[in-house]
Amino acid sequence: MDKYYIGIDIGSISTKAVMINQDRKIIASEYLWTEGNPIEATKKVITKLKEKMPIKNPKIYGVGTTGSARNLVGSVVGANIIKNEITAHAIGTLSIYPDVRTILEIGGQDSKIIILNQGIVVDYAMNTLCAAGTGAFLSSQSKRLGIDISDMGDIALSSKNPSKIAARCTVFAESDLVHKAQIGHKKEDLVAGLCNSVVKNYLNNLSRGKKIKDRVVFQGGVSKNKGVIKAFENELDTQIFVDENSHLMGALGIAILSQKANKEEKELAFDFNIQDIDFKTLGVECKGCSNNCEIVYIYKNGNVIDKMGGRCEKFNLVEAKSS
Amino acid sequence: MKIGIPKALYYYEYPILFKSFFEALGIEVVLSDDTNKKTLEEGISKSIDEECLASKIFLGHVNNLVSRMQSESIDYIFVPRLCTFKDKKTICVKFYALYDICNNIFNANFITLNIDYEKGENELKSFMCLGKKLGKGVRETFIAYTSAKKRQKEYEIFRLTKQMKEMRTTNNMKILLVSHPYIYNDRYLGDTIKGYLKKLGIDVFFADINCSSIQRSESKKMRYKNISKSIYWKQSIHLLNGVEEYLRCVDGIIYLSVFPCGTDSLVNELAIRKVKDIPSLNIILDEEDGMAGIYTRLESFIDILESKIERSEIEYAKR
Repeated sequence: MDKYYIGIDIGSISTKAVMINQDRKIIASEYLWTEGNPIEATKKVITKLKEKMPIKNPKIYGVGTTGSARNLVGSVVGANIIKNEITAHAIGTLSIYPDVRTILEIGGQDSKIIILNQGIVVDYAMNTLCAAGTGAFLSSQSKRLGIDISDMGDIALSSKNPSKIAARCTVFAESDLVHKAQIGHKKEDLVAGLCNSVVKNYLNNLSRGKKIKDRVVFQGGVSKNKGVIKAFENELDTQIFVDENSHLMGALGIAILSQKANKEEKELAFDFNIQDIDFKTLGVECKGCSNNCEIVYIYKNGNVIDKMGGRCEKFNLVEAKSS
Repeated sequence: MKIGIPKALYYYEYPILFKSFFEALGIEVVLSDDTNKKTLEEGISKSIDEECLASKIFLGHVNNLVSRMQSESIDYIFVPRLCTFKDKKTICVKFYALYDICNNIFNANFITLNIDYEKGENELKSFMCLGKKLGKGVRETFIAYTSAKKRQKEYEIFRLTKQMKEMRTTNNMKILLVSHPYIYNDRYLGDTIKGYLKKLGIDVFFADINCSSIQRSESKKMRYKNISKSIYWKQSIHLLNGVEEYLRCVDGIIYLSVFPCGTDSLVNELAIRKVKDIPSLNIILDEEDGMAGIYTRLESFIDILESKIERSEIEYAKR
């Protein structure tokens, strides 16, 4: 009997899910927008995954969650492993490129660089509070220029003379862009300039002092943009590898980790009909001390299944009023 | 007589010295309440926005004592003015200014202890002066000072012995926390992070607790010079001594500072670049309430250490 594992990566912008078999091959996958509601997105993504599965009633031996909503969704789906996105991305990428040394990742609102050596992560950096040079910036600028974000890459590649756009800060980049547009720069030059500025910004912010060695793999939502790939290749002077499933690496990694975590190989009671289950969250202020932490209670069909969010463990003693 | 001590900044640098000095003089000591969100909010409202988070919290603690002054009949709030020390060592200018800032912001009775070797105000002289202000005799003050000094030293040795013993006996993963005591001991700032690491089954050791920094004779090995020869901030020297001392006994180093700390932003960056062959993580805390980003960074850092340990065990088994 084949064993299957599910990985869900719930990011701030998009939610990704994959199902793999015991040989770590992707059987089915789905990608959709989170739209600020991770529980709804998870329900949708699992329903879609169910429709895409080539087999009926697969035996699920592991479920993992990663991404910024990993804890919330982890308790909703009853995950057997909940891990941060850095580890998940590294594991996922290693399963496809075992010799990877550098992972560049640009997502919706954060960006990371992961340095590996002989298959283990040795260093990483993540952007700080500033979201400059991330997908959110590109998508807001594409709206300003009146082009679709998915066409951005092709438009950028058609440019012969990219505009120079400030890379230090998004706010400056934006005023630079407006200025250049008003003095008559072509649209494709502006778009190519934007892609270059995202790359320069990324390298300035994250790779300070880190040696970028081959093989370099680029992933995250922005890796779908050919203009950014080309800008990276020019800047780093090396070949950049982008897998066709580059947006699924986090989900793939956490699915592999869920396989590793299930050492006893026990089957999980995973319900694909999650759409029919009623999940509710309720925010409550803990009155344990004057920190007044916001505690989130998660209800499944009216029963509390988890609570989280405090700075200490005191909130476990405080009871929530029923909704 | 009753004296209030804000539980922040220098209190954590000298947890015994001041308290036991006052108590030896027969003065009752009250501490401000532990830091919580309210302390921080009040501190922020009293500070200019360029103050560091730790100074903002300090003002929150002073505010707490000021509000209790009447009801608990506190006579003075103790805010020392620590400036320069032996061997031309100095301290962050925020510490210089605390007493004057408090006098300007709050309408309350403050009492100070002025340690400024450059201006001839040495420690003994300052303590004698403080005793006089409190109306105590010379002999009485001197005895209180020497006994307080002794107890502070005993406490430091006890703390060090305890840490060394734990480091030798534990089988858990070991992490060196390079951070000022007023950060890692603070309930709002450091406790959350220490608690999280503990939950992951990790033993945390502190860089400021080390052999070099409690030795009386300053001529002994000054290990910090491997990292920087010219650093002159007293607290940073303690931390760098600790980094050099424990480097080979721990699995990883976490540098924890608060925004915007001038000394740490230089010293931590310097240490990260100069100390090689050990994984390190730099965390800077600010006013934000959400801890998710910090937990993600800590968790992935621990993952890196674990896989590194696993790898070396496999290699060791092969041999």
